[in-house]
Amino acid sequence: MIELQNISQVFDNGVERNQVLKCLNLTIPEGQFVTVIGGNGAGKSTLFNIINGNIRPTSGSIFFDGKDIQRKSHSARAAMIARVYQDPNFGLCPDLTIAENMALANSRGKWRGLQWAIRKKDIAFFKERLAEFDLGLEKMLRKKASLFSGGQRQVVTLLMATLQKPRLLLLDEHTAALDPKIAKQVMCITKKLVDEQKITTIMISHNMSDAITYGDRLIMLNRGEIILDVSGEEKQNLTPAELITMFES
Amino acid sequence: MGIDFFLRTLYGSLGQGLLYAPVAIGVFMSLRIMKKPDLTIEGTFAFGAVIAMTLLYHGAHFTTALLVATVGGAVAGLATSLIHTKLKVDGIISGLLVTMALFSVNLFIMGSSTISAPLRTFIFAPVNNLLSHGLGASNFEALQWSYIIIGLFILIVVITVLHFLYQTKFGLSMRATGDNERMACSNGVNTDSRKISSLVISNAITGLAGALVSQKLNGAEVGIGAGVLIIGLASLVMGEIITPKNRSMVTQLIFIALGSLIYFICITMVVASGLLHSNWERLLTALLALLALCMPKLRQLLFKKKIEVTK
Repeated sequence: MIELQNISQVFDNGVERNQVLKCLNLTIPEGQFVTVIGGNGAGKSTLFNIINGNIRPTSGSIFFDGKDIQRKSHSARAAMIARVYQDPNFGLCPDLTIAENMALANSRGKWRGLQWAIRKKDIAFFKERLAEFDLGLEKMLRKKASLFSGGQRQVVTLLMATLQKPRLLLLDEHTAALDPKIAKQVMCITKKLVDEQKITTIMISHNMSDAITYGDRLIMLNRGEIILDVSGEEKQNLTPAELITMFES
Repeated sequence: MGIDFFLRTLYGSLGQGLLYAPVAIGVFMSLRIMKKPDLTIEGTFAFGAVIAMTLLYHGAHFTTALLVATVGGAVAGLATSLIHTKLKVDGIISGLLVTMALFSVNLFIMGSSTISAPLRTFIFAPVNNLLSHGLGASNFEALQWSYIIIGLFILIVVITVLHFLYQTKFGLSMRATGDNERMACSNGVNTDSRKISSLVISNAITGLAGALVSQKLNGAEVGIGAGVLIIGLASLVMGEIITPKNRSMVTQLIFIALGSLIYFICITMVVASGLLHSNWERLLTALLALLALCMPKLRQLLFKKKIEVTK
């Protein structure tokens, strides 16, 4: 479904030259859940930025359903690609209520004209979706997002990303800023949302056991190259210790 | 100096406050919704005033004058926003550039540094006539009431339009763009277009206010916009201080208009009572704005309220 061909990314400020991605090739079929691991500077976030159009790669091409999407802007790609960031502050508008935030996400990829932003049936729908998590969030629809904790924000952001089923979901270390208990809860919710709708997902993680437990395929990036690409049983048989050894080699 | 004198000044400041209130709303749209200051306001206000007065001078109907001034304001906002979003110039600088350029444009439109037109051509004339001839009010009262009635009418229109606009999908995406641009963008909002729309609307409102105020002042001059931004800001912050918590958009807008009234009542009362010479008006404005801006800190210092901690 998404295909990256010979993607290279060079950051050059005239003084220093830093090649972050080196002729990267990656094809992900529809419905696959891929976890990506790699050290700092391995090129994971750059990869995401290239996929969702935040930056244009120095060379190479990206195909979505066989169509070249290089020229599509970030906001145009948002109709197909949703992304959840590590920082819980990135995903919500702090001064808007949860209902308003969700209404905004519910129109992702749709025309935003002079129709009412929030209708009664939207509120009912948002309540129903929030109630699924059993966190009491459905009672806080009218509250401003700035009042929410990091964990609550990530849950709402995740739900918002999947409210309109995206063709591709990018999870950028979305549990890294949370405490271990909440992080685990958010991972369970992630799995539930992704499995329910069979969303094609790429998740960056720093947690080795998460990377092994979740998803169908695991990719390890190092200095801009894929050094490991396993799936199925081979992936399930990996241990965190093995991965760390590979990390260090 | 009796009660009568104060009543007269109160009348005057009410009309002025209502006519200037749209400026405060324009400042609110840029400073509070988009969270970026817009310095085009001063240029736009003068632009609107000059356009309207020149058209009236040449015999146009006041509806044409007001409409063209509003469109003129929108064009000025469009210029600033395009310089900012497409040429990637800082927002403040873009506003300054447009204001600077409009100064010459204004001189060109007027053909001199001042222009005026007779009262009978103004938007206030029909109401004024009705009040003085139909109801037998004194000339002074009729004129003051016509400022108040027209000011109130325009204000209600502006607030109603914005109230509905901000509840639409488009309006919500504008608010999101100001609040968290990255989030808006990753939810598929074309943030550049929202920045442009917001500046176009806020400057259209300001242009309209300029056109109205110039008719209250019986003319426009090239420096009519000077200080308007800080007046709008002072009104905005004074309005915000009295705004109740958990407010909806429409209450916020109404209280900003009230802020404008309070501001003009304060200023005119102080100057009219002879406490200060009118030369000090701007200093007073700056002090009032400062007072309103640092109110949260002052409150904290003056009334130290202990937040109860449950153990």
